Amino acid sequence: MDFFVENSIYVTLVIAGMILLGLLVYLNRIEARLRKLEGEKDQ
Amino acid sequence: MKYLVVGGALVGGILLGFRPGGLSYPKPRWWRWLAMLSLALLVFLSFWIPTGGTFGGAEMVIIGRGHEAASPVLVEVIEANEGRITGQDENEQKATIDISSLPEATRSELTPGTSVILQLSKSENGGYAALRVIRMNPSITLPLLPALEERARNLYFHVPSAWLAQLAWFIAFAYAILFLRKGRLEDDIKASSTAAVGALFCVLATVTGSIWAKFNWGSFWNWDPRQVSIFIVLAIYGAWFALRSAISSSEQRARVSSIYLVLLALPVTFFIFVYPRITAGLHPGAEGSPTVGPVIDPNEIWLNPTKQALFALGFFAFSLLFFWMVNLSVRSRMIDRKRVASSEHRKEAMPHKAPEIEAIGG
Amino acid sequence: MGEGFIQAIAIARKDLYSELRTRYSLNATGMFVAVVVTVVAFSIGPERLNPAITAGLLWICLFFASVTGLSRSFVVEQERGTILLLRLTAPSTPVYFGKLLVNMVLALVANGLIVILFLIFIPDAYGGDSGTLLVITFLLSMGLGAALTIVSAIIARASARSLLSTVLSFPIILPLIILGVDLLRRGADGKGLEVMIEELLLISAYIIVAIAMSYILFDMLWKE
Repeated sequence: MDFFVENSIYVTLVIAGMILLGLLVYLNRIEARLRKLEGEKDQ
Repeated sequence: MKYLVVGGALVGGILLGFRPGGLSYPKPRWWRWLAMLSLALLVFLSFWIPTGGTFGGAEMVIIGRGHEAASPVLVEVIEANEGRITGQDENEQKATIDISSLPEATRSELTPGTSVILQLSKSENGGYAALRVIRMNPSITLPLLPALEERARNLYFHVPSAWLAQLAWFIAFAYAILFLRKGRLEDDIKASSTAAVGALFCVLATVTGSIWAKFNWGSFWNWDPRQVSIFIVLAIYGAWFALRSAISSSEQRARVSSIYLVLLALPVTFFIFVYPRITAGLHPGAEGSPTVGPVIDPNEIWLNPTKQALFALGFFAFSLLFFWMVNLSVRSRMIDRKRVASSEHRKEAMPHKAPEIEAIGG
Repeated sequence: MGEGFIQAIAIARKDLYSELRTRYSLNATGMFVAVVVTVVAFSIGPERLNPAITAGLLWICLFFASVTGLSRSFVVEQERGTILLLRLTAPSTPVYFGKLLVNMVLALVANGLIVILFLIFIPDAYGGDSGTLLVITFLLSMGLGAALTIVSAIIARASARSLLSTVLSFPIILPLIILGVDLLRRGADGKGLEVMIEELLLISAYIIVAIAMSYILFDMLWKE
């Protein structure tokens, strides 16, 4: 317990980093799918 | 200098949002990498940089919280004796600190000339006692604001999302006018995508703000004027989307909702710019508050250079995230529209199929 | 201008005549007001409320009565199918100003009714100067009429109209609500008009801006 209290900022950093990672993966997935769809249309 | 850094980040974010590719064409690879890196950097720096206060600031925090409380202070060690050191803070104020509770290995590192951030509490005899070492020789620190302390870090997320919620409003407004003048359906798609992502950032600003309010002002919601205004802006977004979902023909929807959006300029301007400033409240910038807000206030104490840089990075990274999301939304809806258009085209080519009944009232 | 003015008057007269013939809006609004005032009177019971709360209650009645009554002006035309005929025979400007006139008159009648019923049925509803109350009610009715005319025209274009009317009116008249509650509260406290100049000017500015914007936007809404 003490560990989490003393290092609460770093714990927050890890959580925020995980949220950010999830968001970026999600956005990149949509980006890739859109690129595929846009490519299909041009042909 | 401050205006240059923060303003540059604001303008840079908007320019990069519109320049390569605009809202409706794919962003180049370097652009997406820039967005991801600046976001990662923002998250990392805003939690990694330690808070290093002064004895004066620590005094205020400790007195405000009771005896068991502690506060981070950046100390430059001048003299090291057995079990205690003499150090000075940024304001060259000197104090003796009892370090007997620290482990032996750490104590031997605190030689004269090193700087260290110590978690200090007030000891029985009125002097300071070090509870633990937060960071040895920090290269960069954030100042301790006695009322905000570590919670001040929310500033780099809360303020940029609130700013983008407002910016989204203006962009949507501009595209609504453009649609009314030119009649291109593409402008309506841009307006509604911007508004949708703007509503999301509005929710983000509300959530980060109310969590912050819980730990700073005591409750999640206090009906502070700015909370009122963001609540109303959310309601306005809601009304606009309700109107859009009630019209089935896309031409009609675009025209009517653009008109309503322009009409909404009246209350939105009132609630974003007028109302929070004419009513007394808890946010900076309210009536009777000592500062017009950390960003606009020319007084440097509200924002030191490190915070300025972080703040600017926050605005920049959030702008890129915002424009990326808008870009994705616009592009996917353009593809949708083209598919619908081409399927309608195909239907016309096959006359034996029954024509669809047109929506009533359209 | 002269011809447009005559047309606007003609449209307003037509609306008032058809209203007097069917008394749809008046009946609905009248019943609504009666119900609301009764509910408020019963829920208060023998309590004596402080002026701030009565001002708020009064405003709730004014808001919902106006929204239910006024937002129907174009919806009625749409439902009867007469809107096409109107669109063929009249340009946008006279239609807008004709409807605006009717709505302002209706708002005045409905709000006047509410205020009178409030004063009769709720003890100590308003302790202030009656002239002040008259001015405030008049200005607020004008503001509600000005804001709700264009909202009604927008709603006529959508489906689920009765649901939308409250949702869409709310953000537009919110500045009016905040200023109005403030004024009514201060009026109930016995303050005179001279300390309310700033708010009264803000409401007047709101009315002017609302009419100007509606006039420009209505033209786009009217053209098919």
